Amino acid sequence: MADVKRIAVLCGCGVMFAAAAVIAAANAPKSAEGQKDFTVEVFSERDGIDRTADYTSDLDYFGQWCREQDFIAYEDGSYGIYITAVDGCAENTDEQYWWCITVNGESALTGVDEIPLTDGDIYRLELKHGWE
Amino acid sequence: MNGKKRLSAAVIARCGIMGGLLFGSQLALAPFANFETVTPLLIIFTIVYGKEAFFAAAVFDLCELAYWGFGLWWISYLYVWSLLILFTLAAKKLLRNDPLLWAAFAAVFGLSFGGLFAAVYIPVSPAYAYSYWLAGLSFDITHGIFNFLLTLALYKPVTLALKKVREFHGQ
Repeated sequence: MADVKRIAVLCGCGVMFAAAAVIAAANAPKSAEGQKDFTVEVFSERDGIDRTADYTSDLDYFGQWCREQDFIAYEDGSYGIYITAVDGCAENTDEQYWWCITVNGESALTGVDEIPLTDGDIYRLELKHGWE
Repeated sequence: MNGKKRLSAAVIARCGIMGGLLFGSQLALAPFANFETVTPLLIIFTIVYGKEAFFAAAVFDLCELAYWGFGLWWISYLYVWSLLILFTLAAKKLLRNDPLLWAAFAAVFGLSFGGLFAAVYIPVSPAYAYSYWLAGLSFDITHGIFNFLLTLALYKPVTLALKKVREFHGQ
């Protein structure tokens, strides 16, 4: 009887994980192929930076593009790339300064490596103060 | 058991140690995404010490607040870990002392973590809460799998050690 209960619970778990995997795969951010023209804004009130530049790239994800830029410093972690400085302006977690990424004005909900590079999009790197 | 006994020095010290263990283990494993021992330890603390785990979770939450500072995530922490304790208390009779079933329980909690965590955003924007949950779902799957493995590995030795300590101190 105990074994039946164990098998039933494990099967139930398996079904839940399989369903979650299907939902996650169906909703995973996807990138279009080919060349993309996009805009990058950099803003830091602390450092007095407010600049905008246009770029072109064939890469698929914003994280891939960030890795190729000299003005962006980052760390690689188990969550993927993590931006630590832009234009030489470093985060300071002790004082709750961190680099936030928005895409077309919306906060990015995924890690930088999962943000698709999309033609016409505006990517904003903003030094925020305080945990939200 | 009267109120005076519940607030004895031994209980306060034990809850402080349990909360400190939760915080220390989380900090030590912070570089590894979704690999945490807070879930298995809190489940085991609840199994062995019952409702005292609420105090341990409170100590853990306060340590998190002192270390990281306030954010909306901290509100999520307040209820997410309390819910884990409540679910554990409710499942105690059903799952008995079976490590495999508790591992499955921890796996489901890991899978649900993002959804429970995102609930704090529902009053602000249900659409944002939904997107937040969806964006983190792949991490929740990994979280659930690690929870399963860690609970399976830790359940027997930690439960046994805590029960021995409890017997040694007579409470």
